Amino acid sequence: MIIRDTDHNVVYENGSESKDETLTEMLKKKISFKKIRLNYFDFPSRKELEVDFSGAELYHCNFRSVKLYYTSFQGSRCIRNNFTNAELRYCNLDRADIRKSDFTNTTFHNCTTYCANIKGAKLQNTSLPWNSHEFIAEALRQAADNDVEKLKIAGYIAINTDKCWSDFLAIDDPLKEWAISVLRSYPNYPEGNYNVF
Amino acid sequence: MIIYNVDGNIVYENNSSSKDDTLAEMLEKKISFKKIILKYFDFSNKEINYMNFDRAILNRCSFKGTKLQSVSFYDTEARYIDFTNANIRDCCFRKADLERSNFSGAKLQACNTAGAYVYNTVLEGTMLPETSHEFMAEVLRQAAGDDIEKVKVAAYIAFNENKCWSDFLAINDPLKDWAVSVVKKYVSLPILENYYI
Repeated sequence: MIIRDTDHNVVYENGSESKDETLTEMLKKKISFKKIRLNYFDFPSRKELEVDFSGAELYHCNFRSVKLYYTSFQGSRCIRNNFTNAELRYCNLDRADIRKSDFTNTTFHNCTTYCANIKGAKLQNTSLPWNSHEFIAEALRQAADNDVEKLKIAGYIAINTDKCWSDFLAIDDPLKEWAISVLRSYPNYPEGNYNVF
Repeated sequence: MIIYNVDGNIVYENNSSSKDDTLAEMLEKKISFKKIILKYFDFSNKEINYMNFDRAILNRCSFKGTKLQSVSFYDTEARYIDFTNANIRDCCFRKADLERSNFSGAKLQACNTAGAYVYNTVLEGTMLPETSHEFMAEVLRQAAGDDIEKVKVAAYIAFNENKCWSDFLAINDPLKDWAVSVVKKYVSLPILENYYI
């Protein structure tokens, strides 16, 4: 199997046809995953992973139940990946394109998501990163459906990255309660602790 | 002078200490500008066609009065760039970070700006591509000042890339006329009637 990076250079090559074997070898040999291109790869679940995927292209990869610590997805294209039950701690998702990925039951802890594209991500029962305008806006966008006024609230949070929770709570908006009730449905809503943005 | 790319490799080297001489040489020798790091370089009043600046770092460069045709700035870090009076046609700014760049008097025609970060760009007398959610939202955000309801209209446009002008014109919003009057200054409205943004 030949693994290439986004510039089409060969990053890793072996005689195996198995993606699982190849991935295990690569992790063992500490091959750089920076700018790597991987489709339909299955990362070992319940394992701790500390990898730099910055600038990588990861499509339909499976990070199910993986513990991602200090992992960087900065500027990567991670479309339609499966992060269900994964645990992301101190991960860098800045400018990552993680559209349509599945974050069901995923836990985020101290992750950065500046300018990440999260459109269409599945966020059922996700422990959201409450400092993330992008995730909060997407959660509200999905709950808003086609209601223009509700979409405006979602957009307001998305584009006002210099505003924090206290600014949002200070505005006099009839849909503020709706927004809070939507966010409250997520498992780790910081009840009473609004200094999280 | 030594010019590096973002991977830390040397792209070009000469004995000159002048940025202008180096740039002229590089343009003459058709050196690839992909992923290049060029800060404070002066491209003003040049004619640049079919050039690729993808993933480059071009902070504080000057493209004052430059004619840019079919130039790609995909995922380029292009903060504080001076595009004053530039004529920009068929260019790609997808995912480009254009924060605080100056587009005063510039003409942007048929440019793709999907996912571009245009926060606090200077847009006085700029002719903007009417398909750009990012620029439309930014002109509205700047015009809105601290008026939350107006900021929400800007946010709605920024956040709903799947919606087009006809969708926006169909909504019943008291600030719709305000938004159209602001946008009118930057795009030609006859197109706006049937054009998808």
